[in-house]
Amino acid sequence: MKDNELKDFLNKNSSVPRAPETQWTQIQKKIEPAKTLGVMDYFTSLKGLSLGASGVAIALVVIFSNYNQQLPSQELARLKKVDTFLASDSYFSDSDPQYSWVGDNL
Amino acid sequence: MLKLAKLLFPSLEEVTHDELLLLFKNYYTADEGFVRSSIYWMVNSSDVDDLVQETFLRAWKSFRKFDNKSSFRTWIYRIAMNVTYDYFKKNKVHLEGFNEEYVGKENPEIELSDLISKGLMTLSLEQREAFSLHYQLGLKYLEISELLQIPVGTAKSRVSSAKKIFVDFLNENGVENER
Repeated sequence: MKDNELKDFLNKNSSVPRAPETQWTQIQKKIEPAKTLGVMDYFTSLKGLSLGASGVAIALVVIFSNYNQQLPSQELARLKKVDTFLASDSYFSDSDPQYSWVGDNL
Repeated sequence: MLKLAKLLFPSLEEVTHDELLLLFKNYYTADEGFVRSSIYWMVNSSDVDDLVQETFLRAWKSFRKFDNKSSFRTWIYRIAMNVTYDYFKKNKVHLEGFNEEYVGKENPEIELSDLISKGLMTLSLEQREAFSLHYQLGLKYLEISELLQIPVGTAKSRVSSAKKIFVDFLNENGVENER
């Protein structure tokens, strides 16, 4: 069989299936999924978003609660300092007569 | 198309996403048929649609890396063949051709298109690639050598040995020149 005869034979008796009309659209959807979101895709993405937001909220609660647990101890230490100061200050504790005018005025 | 793009934008980095997509779509419109045929004559399967899609997706992902050293057609053809070979590996198809006994001898009503498909499957992948490029896509030996990045002599040799096997197969299955 000569080359030209073989080419003719193949051309006459075989063909390539045509591309689906939506092929480019399908390719483009895969190239740019964000730009071609449908309504359902929108809700699906919202679902993902809400899951993410919930995760962040839980993390914030955990962090914040730990922070609050530290506050009382700091506050207690501060109050203890004030208490110590007040207890040691002679102005409030001395019964020295020089302050007797306080009692006199009462 | 890409040469024009290179002229307008010396570096593809300067091309915006939308401009790049337009260039890509233009190429798809112009040469999808070539990519599709190249793959189809290798796999002879309805999976060709998926493989064409995969080829263009892979090409898109590495589009900005295209260095213009070869023609864009050569570049995308190599991607198409990589996709095809991956398909063969995934589906555990023998890479050196089937060489199976064809049952067409007992069935004179067999469609010629089926016979051609079976005949192509008796060729090794290298032979099938060269054969379909020459006889089905009409490329010259020089073009085949550029596309496959092999010497012209090797291209001729592959086409010639593939032709012999294919024609012998047709003859064994009752196809004469006049049929």
